[in-house]
Amino acid sequence: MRRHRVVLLTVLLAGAVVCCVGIREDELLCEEAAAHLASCCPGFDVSSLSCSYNSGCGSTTYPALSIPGSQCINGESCATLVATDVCQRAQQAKAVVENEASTGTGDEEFAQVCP
Amino acid sequence: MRLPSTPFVFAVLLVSARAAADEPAAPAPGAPAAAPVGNRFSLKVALGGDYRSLYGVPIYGGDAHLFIGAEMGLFAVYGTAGLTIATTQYGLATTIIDLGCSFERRFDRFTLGLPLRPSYLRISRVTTSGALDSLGVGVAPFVGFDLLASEGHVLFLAASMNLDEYLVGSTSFAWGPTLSIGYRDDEPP
Repeated sequence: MRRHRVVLLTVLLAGAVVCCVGIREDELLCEEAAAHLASCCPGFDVSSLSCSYNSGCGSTTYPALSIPGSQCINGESCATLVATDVCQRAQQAKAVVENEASTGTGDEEFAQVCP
Repeated sequence: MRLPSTPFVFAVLLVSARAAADEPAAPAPGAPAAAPVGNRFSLKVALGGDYRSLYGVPIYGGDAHLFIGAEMGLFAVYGTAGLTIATTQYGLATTIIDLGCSFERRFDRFTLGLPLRPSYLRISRVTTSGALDSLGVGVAPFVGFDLLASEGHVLFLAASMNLDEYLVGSTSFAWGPTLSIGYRDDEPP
């Protein structure tokens, strides 16, 4: 019985590693902001906005929108996003890449998108 | 993700519940003979409206759950399977699949229950064709009320609070209520 439990636990853990990428706060909020921008901003190209987190090979790539930036966008109306040029700045935002050798946290590298 | 086929899971739950329902409770040695309390097969289906909050992102949707198990006097134990189809505030498609068990206690027309369940959460991305997904564990304590009951057929309402911790990658906590209406079929004693 104990052996069966160990096998079952191993299978579940292996399945968890294989099946899922995980849900990061910065990625989810960025995707939600991207969906909001797509519905508010005329001509907004959602596929050009990077909301992915990747780590490896000596560098880490963060979503183009920071957590506070995404929260700000998600809290604004369409009229405000258009009137304050958030649409344009978000369209131009680039993913933040942090190299392993750098000493900064990376937070200061996010472009100011939302007023 | 490759999950066991749904018919297979339901078949296992059904066989287990039938076996439990067929086994009478054994009296304690030396105890006076009590009135026998037979285990009865029980089945529930429920449809609900859901709200979840994940990192402050609101998620709205509907769910369907199947419960197959046995009633033992005032207690009941079920195997459960559920599917939730939802969307975030700004339209990210969200799916939750859960499989687990539920322990319940009847109080006349009220029921208190504690489902325990592993679950799989998937939220589609809008910037790519991929998705954010994770496996988690959770509980969903609920209170139910039998609206109508007749000869083992029961129409009930239930209110539950879903508390799920998703564990893959960075851990994330999702919570929110569900309001359900359902049908319960209890095998006659």
